[in-house]
Amino acid sequence: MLDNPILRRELTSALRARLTFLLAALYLAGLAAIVWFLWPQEGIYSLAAQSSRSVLLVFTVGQLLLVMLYAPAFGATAITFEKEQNSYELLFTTQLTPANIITGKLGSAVTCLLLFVVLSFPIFTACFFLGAVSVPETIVIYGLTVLTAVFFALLGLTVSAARPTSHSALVTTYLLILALTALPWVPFIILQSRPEAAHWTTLVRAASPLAALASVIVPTFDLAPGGVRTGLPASWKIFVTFAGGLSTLLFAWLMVGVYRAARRPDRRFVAVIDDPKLLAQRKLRFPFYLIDPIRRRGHIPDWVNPVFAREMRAQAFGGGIWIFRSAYLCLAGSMILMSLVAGNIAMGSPDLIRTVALVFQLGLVVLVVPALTVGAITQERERGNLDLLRQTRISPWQFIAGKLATAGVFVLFIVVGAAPLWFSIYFLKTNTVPQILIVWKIIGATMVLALLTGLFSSAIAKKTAAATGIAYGILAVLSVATLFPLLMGDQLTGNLRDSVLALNPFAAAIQALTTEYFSESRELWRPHLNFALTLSGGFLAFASFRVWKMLSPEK
Amino acid sequence: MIRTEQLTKKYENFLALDHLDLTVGEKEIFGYIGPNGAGKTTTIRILAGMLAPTSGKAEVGGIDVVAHPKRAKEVVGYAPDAVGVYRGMRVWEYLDFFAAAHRIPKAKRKSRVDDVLNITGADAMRDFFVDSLSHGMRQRVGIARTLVHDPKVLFLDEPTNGLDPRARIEMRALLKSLQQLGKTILVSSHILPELATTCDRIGIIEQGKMLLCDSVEHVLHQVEDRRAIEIEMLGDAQPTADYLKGKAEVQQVIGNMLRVSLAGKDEDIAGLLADLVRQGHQVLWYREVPVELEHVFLKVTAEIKAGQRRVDDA
Repeated sequence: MLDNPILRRELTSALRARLTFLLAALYLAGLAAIVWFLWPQEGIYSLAAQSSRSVLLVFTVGQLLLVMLYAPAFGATAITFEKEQNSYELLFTTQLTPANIITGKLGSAVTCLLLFVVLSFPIFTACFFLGAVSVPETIVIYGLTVLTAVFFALLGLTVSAARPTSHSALVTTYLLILALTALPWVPFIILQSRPEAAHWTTLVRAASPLAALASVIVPTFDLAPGGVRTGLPASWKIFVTFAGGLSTLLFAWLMVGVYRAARRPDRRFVAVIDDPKLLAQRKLRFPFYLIDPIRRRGHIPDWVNPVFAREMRAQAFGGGIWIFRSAYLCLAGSMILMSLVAGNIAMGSPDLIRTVALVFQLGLVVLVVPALTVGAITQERERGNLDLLRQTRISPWQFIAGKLATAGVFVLFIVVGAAPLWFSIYFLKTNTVPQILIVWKIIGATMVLALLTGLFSSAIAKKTAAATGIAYGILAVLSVATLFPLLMGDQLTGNLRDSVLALNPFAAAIQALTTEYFSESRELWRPHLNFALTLSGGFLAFASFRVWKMLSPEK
Repeated sequence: MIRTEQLTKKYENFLALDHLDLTVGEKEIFGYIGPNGAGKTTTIRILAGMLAPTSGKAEVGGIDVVAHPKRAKEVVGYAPDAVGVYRGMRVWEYLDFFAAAHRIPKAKRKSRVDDVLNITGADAMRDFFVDSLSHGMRQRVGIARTLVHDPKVLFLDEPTNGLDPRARIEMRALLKSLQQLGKTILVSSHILPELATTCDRIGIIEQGKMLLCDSVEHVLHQVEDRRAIEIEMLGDAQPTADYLKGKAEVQQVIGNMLRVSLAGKDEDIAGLLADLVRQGHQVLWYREVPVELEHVFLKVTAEIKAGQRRVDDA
């Protein structure tokens, strides 16, 4: 294994990179911060004490979230990087077999992730002082973390083999990881008031690594509502079977994909489509045929920003149809939720339904929207187009406006796709139109923030892959880490707690839309809007300055 | 049309351009030669208004590109050595975008795109996806892109890099036709024989300094003051070689062929041949061996390297 030249090269360059050191430092600092803040103020707690277990739970969940955040950075760019450097086909001309290539790439991605996990162990041992964890539990917790790291690294690598660019591979991987982590919870949350569904919803929920970890740490986690046993094995055991099985399938799929690429290096683009059969096939792919490049005939109108027109042709509609698929997904998800509400299938409280709907809508924004702008600047640089643009009379503002307008069109798709959801929320009666408008202000501000976070990341990073990691890192901090006060009980003052929660779009929107949640906090939506728009303004100013510098003569 | 005066560019401790003086006249094709890292691309990028010099002046079409880089964009077309493309765009769309980016009104743009495709011989690629083009095709489309706003001056950085012989011949013809359209062209290349046949003047740059700058013919003779002649005799050439000792330097004798070198003009060569015939040496044919630009380039750059070594030693 160690003789594998790909593994050696990848590991050497990864471990030499300053970024790896920085990521490791952030990883450890994040985990150390969790333990520091959650450490009991009043002496040592016993094993039975709730606080001790909550320290452990937050630490392990924090570690898992960091693994989720980092796994795509190592796995999802491994093969796309070779494709972008035109070195993928060169690998097939050597004596290396596809199996060597895969094991080398996977080995390096997993080793880097595992290195971070192992480095965290000294912090984890602090939990022993609380008496919060036994040795067998430690083994299971670390086993699950390692399995999740391998599973997600493999997922990233498989996506990397299938996608043409690091940017699209990273976005796809993040979306898949989120789907695998969050979606299994949705049936459980929606149908928790139906005991007859508890068996299946618990089984589905166990597919999430978060549920697996929780089942180790929280003894009552696997019990159905009312303390009834579901008759299922512990969630972590189900997860091990699920993740192990899916990893095997992914590995097999990856092998087939790389073997195929070795035999027939793919040429993704044809010069001209003149075959009537092929043409007919394209026409039948309605509605995608509507945006097919072969249908375009018109020149860019004088009143249209050329950057916007070009983005719509080359980057957006010319390059991919995934945004249509996102809109479909959005529409399908919101239709399902609407049906559950209309058919009275989900017997949860209106607040629960509204919360699920809101998390779905905001989650889509946080996940999909930054991907629209993370490549705005870096891709121009990577493809050698920045020099060409600098020769034209395009102004920095025109450049940024064109990029943001293109992303705005896509955002519109997401908004339209989620429209049925909002009709159902409206018909739940409890909400007044002003409340819904407040929530839409928050969603709008989150969209702007997500777009500009992507643009800002693209302005500071040299590569799109790095920009994607930075953007998702910032948004993870803003939308997940700011929920941290919820886990800290009364260790924070009310003011500090509310100030941190006001940074979180989910907390602000849920408080505005529901009557039950965050009711003890002061009004969150106004400070949140101020914060989101101020931060967005800062990001926009910085990105504009960078673009102005890039389009000016170099010094 | 192009003029630099004491143009200097420093990157921290590295001197990329060292007080460079360069003048290129209107409708001229100027060949810019130099080894890697000599300062060719730096010069071109400064002249295209994309890089600020450390000191000195740079003018293109009467516009000071350092003071007015935006105005320079109107008169300059620059084709870098690597042509950037956009996925999913056809060639006409790609050109249309750059024409729009140069603020050419839509009404004029269609004919402009057709014109540049026609000029560059890329009409057949009009509906091709730009990212599916071969390297040679991309270079052609890249030059078409530089022409969309009808600039007076073209800067072509290594346009023949990686092209096959046929594409190179076509590129030479393209440069000539652009010259006939009134364009002033500064072209950098490593393929020296091509520049010798295409350019009106050439400049040799090394370590940021212009070593030589003149017409191709003058540069060749300036560097190589002796001329080489090949003479084929009817029969063994050795007696002729013996006769020529003292009159010219005999470099080589192979069978009935000999190669001699002498300093002088055409009259001196004619005199030498007449003398041979008078002495009964039966000359079958003769020809002057052309001095190759590569030879000149190597000689000139070797001299500066030797000079540099002497400075280093001191």
